[in-house]
Amino acid sequence: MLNGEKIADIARKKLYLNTNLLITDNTQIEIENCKKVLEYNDIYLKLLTSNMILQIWGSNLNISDYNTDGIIVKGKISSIEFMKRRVT
Amino acid sequence: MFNNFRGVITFKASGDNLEDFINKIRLNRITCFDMHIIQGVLVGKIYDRDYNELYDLGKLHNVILSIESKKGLIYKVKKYKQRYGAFIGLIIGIGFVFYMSNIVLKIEISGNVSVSNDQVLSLLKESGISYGKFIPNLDYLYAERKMMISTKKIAWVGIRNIGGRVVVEIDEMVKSPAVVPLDVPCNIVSSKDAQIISTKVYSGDLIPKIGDGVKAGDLLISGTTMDKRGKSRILHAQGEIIGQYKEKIVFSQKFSEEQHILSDTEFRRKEFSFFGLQIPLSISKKIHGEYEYDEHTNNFCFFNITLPIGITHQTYRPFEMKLIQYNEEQAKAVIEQKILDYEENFLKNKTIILKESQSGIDKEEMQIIVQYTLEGEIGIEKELMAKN
Repeated sequence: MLNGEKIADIARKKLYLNTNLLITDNTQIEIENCKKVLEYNDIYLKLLTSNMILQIWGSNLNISDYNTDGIIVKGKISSIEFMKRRVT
Repeated sequence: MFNNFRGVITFKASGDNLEDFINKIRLNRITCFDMHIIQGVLVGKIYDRDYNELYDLGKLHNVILSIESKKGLIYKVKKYKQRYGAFIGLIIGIGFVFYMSNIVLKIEISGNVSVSNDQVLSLLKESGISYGKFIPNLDYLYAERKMMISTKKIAWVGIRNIGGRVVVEIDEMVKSPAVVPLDVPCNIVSSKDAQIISTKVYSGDLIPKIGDGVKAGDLLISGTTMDKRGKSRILHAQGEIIGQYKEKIVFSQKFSEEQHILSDTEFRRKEFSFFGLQIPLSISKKIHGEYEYDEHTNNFCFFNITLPIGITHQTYRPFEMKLIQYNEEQAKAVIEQKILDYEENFLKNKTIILKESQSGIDKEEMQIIVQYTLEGEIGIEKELMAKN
């Protein structure tokens, strides 16, 4: 039986609203459908996407936005964490 | 590369909630790249066109914005915004280069032997091609056709341009010899009333013998022969028939006559030649009547390139009508010179056997009648089957 979450997942898939990551080595990540920057400093970046929260740890992190509803994170990346987004 | 044209500003932003500021930048569709936070200060790069918007955004969110650096061609050009002269000069320079690349700077003529360069240049001028003319306006096909029609000496003309250099290639007419072609059957007939002195027959049958008298038009060598079997053949008669004949020429000279003589006065004028335009360098009266005219142009040079700018030197020598009086001796001297010129020009290939002169004088002129007895070629070719 379909519940709201499953419907939302299917809708995101069909409408290409998933969070897509393209990781190049440990130096660059391209993140699609990024909504907001929650926290940001030189070594830590917390992002809100359409369906989750991403935490990126590293050093010399810098972000670029080219008006594509996504961002590019560059620097020396040590880890990426995925957290479920809590809808309030 | 495009960033160099557009202009990129590196900014520094400091304040309380920088993450919020970043989100507002993204929400307002401001392209921002290479953002990083160093010791609580956000450093990033934006395009020049977005700076005002970012500044307003910073004011709204209590973020202090400052410009770290500006890079791009647009900033170098903005420095010279007030320098109108520089822009005007640049436009004039570009216009000048464009103009100089599209006008006739040099005309090269090749292949002409009997037609002089000056004649070719004047024919080109009549067709609209001369120094300083705008090349896209030139109609080469029309000029080629006009030149071939204007003079019979030119068989073919080719005109093209390589940049500002117009190249004219000419093929002249090869004059065909005034003889009947060897493959056309013909007779040799006499051109004068003469007595045959000697004969040489290369082809055909000789009709008269040495010592015979012939009239103008009489057959000398026949192109119709009979072979051993009695069959007639038609061929191109060839041979040399030398005959002796008489010629009477009258030479005369009037005791007073009007002649065109060049006057002693000479007028010199100068004109400034500028891309085909002739601008007079002095105010002077127009010269009336007939005169002999000569001109030559000295062009300016620039690094070994001859420019279509120079000074034209013109010389006018007017003719005068003078009444010249001759006495008898002077008139006789003039006639004798005329006789010598005639013999030099017309009797060069003949042998003068006898020359008898008889002079006569009346009120107006003196006459000398010269009777020549000449020896020379009297045969001329005449086609057997002449076209009507």
